[in-house]
Amino acid sequence: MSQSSPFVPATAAAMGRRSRRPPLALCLLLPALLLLGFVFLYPMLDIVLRSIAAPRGGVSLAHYGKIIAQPAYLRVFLITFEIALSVTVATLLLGYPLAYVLVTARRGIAAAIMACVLLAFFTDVLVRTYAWLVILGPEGALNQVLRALGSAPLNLLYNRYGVLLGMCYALLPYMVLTLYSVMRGIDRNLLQAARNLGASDWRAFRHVFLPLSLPGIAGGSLLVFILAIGYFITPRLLGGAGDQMIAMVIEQQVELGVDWGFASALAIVLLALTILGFLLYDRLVGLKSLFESKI
Amino acid sequence: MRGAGGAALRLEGLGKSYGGVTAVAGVSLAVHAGEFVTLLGPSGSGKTTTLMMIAGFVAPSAGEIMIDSRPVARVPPEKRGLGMVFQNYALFPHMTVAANIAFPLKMRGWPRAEWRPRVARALEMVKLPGYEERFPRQLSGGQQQRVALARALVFEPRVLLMDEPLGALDKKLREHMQAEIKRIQRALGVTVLYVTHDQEEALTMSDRIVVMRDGRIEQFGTPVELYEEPANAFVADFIGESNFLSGTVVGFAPDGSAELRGAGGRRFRAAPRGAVAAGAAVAAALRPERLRLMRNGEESSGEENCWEGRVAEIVYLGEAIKLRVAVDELTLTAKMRNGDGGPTPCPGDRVRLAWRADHTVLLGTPQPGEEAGAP
Amino acid sequence: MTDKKTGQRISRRQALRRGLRLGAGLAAFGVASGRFRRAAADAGKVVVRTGGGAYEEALRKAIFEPFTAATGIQVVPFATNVAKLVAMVESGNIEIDVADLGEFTTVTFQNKGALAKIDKSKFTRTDLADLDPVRDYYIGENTYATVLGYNKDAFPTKHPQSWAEFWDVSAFPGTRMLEDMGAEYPNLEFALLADGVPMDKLYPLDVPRAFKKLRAIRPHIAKWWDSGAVSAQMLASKQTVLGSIWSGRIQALVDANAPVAIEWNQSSRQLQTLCILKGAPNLDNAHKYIDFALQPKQQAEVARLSGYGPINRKAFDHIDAATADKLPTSPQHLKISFATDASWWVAHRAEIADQWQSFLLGG
Repeated sequence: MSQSSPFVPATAAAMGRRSRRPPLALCLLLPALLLLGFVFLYPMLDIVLRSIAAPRGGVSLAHYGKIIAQPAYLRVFLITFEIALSVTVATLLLGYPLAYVLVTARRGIAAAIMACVLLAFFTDVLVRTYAWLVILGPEGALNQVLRALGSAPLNLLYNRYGVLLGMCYALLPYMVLTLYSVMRGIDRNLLQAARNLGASDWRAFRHVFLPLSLPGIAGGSLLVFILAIGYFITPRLLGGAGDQMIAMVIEQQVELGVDWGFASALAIVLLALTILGFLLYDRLVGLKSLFESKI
Repeated sequence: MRGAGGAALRLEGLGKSYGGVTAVAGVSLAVHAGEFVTLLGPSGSGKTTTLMMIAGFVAPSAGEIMIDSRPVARVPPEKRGLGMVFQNYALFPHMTVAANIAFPLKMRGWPRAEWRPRVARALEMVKLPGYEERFPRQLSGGQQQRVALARALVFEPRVLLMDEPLGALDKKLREHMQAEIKRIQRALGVTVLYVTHDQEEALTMSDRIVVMRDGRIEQFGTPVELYEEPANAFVADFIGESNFLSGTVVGFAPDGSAELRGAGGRRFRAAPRGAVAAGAAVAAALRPERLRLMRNGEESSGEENCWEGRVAEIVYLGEAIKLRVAVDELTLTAKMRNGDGGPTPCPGDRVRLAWRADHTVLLGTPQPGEEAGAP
Repeated sequence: MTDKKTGQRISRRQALRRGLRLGAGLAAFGVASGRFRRAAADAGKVVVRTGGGAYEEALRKAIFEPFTAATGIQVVPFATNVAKLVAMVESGNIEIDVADLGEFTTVTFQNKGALAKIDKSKFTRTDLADLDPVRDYYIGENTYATVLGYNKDAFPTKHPQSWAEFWDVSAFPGTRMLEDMGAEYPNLEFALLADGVPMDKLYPLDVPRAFKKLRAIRPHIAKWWDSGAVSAQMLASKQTVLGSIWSGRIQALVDANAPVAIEWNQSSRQLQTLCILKGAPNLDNAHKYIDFALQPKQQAEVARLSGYGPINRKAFDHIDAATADKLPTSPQHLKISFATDASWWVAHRAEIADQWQSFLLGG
């Protein structure tokens, strides 16, 4: 390269002069934005359009009318939220102590627990669900143990218990990992400080650790709830007739190629209800006010 | 805010070992009520572990902790009634300044009506009045430090533990806070046990200093004692700067000072401490500022020792000038006040250094692995 | 070696590169001879949609490999579900030539105008007179059945032999299972048979009557199964003692010596079909593939490997009696079973889906 190359100085000068250039950050973001638009917004739009497309062209709200007119579909939405909420609460109650042990236990124990949690994570959902079929059946491992103990067999399959068990197991890792990441960021000195200032073990937890772990509780719950709302394999295999979740109906409509328009309408209603629920949650619970404490 | 005065603190053979590793090896120590005592040592010396055992966060493997005459080694931390300031302040990020400071009052069941006035007084004491409704993240490092101090003192503990509380502050602010802490400590009369690795901070603030190394106490004394009469080479080197001379006692002068023969046959005199027998191999420490640079033709004015050497290096420190002078195979460091008059020598100049026998401190028997010779 | 387009001799390395481009399918076949590789490159390929799994494995042995050996045409299996196929058809980006599909989906695609007419004049190997059904847009390939399966331990001496007896919970106690709409077809036909409708008068289905009959059995249904695996698992683990189940699934249990058995009476037959997608890139090869696949020998081999019943009558010439007795299309089973009317189902599925949903929730 000779020093007569005009390229470098010219560019530098241009950069100095032009102030209206798109900022570098935007340029770097552009591929991601395009990708997002293409893989997220475009299909979203497609689903909306499908849901309002009339069979012979034009716009029709017939699909939405059907959802409202058929009480069965509203019932399915209700059941979906009921199951998702139960699973969220159950995974929180199970996951919180687990995550707490993970961040407080000695390294060896924590690693063993983490391995168990992740093992469930890495197993295919279908395999896990079939394992539950084997464990929970009337002749399954659980009932054989119960029978050996002289107890009456439990009916845990093809009903709500089976669905909740299977889904909790599948979604627990999401809750635990979210909680774990937040709890790990909590300065352990704060707990010592609380103890030093006169708090018992429990009160240090109650007044310091718990409030500081709230972002994890909120994040984990939201994640599990949203994942649970879209579940269909587990309720399909482990549930009974009364455990219809909306994703099962959507999947059926799509998979058998029956009515993609109606499936789209169901998906849109689910999305709308979820967003509505989230806004309500944010409004009512008001995370920030919960998080901060004054005297 | 009035203090409840200080409590006496006594450690009796306090020890901690993890598996086979000893972190603190049987430390015994008596701190008087209202005294400011600093645990000083390099990292890994066991000073923080000692503090954590006193606070109750680390269970001792051996020994007892007495506060006044109450044994507390097996008392949970919240029942020891000790105030503590943590290295990174450990303010609760989700609580306002007021909630942070009221926290110990709430936990200790003080009547709710007293919270606000006490918080206000505590904030006044640390010169942050009106900061009640801020959150810690809205405060500077120095302000957070003050809030931590207010929180540690608001419930009137009789002993305050401080774990490198000023480590995160810049030099100016640190010096300012040192004075503030001393002022508050004097005003409240609280006993303070302070941990630092900064010897200058220890010297400025402490009534007495515990120098620790490898889980043991090397020396416990006032700043003056530690500086003027270090018990061993480690203390002499860790607190301030020292030249180390080694030699054999060959005899005693009429004034009682010992006559020594050092490496290369050079002779010097030192003021013996305790009994030193002729023929014994000893080490001595000599502070750089005790060495005087003699001008050409100048006679020594009462100094018993005078060596000649060549200037190897000059370090300009602002208020002082440091000379490294090679005397045969030894290198002595001398420190002169700037503006003492007279020309500053240049590297390569031949100079004479003089010092008094009673500034040559004979050290205790060197421990194995200790470097007692020339640095 | 000579390149067709340019007539130039091409180097050995170029030929090798071309060979490599044939893809993974060929490699899987383990075909290594140079002569064969050249034949494959010249004859092209055909992309066949399958459902994957054991059925595709049977097709590979019975059809793909012999077809390639005979014609040099490479078969690229394309395992995909119906939803992805629908998306492919809708986008117009057709990568598949032949679709091996259940009749319900085939008719759906036909109605969407997504299928190409099959030009039967191109057939040289198969005599279409031996086949039924042969339609403009698809040809029956083989048949699976939904049968009445039962646990032999639960019914050691006398088992239900009709759907009316299946409904008779006092004579044959025990929990039952029936098919959910999610699997394919809810068993409306069986309900009507149980209610006394003759087998040849089922269609058009009397839907309200069928649901009424289903409500009667509902309290005794442990689960409406919506996948073949679940139905097999339930019968094998004795979670139910009685139920509708696909013949292939229960046959696998029988072959594994599980205490279960098949009642063929009043079973329903569903058709697996072959069709060609409109815009298929290898149209000629698609015809060749279908022509080849429907030959008696290939049909017999698929039947032997998969348990599906052949459509080609002549296939039974190559099937021993013991195997024939397990197949839905053997003469003895044809007599006592009925064919599901896929066209009726395609026309009524959406409305039945609504009713099924509320039925499941207790309506």
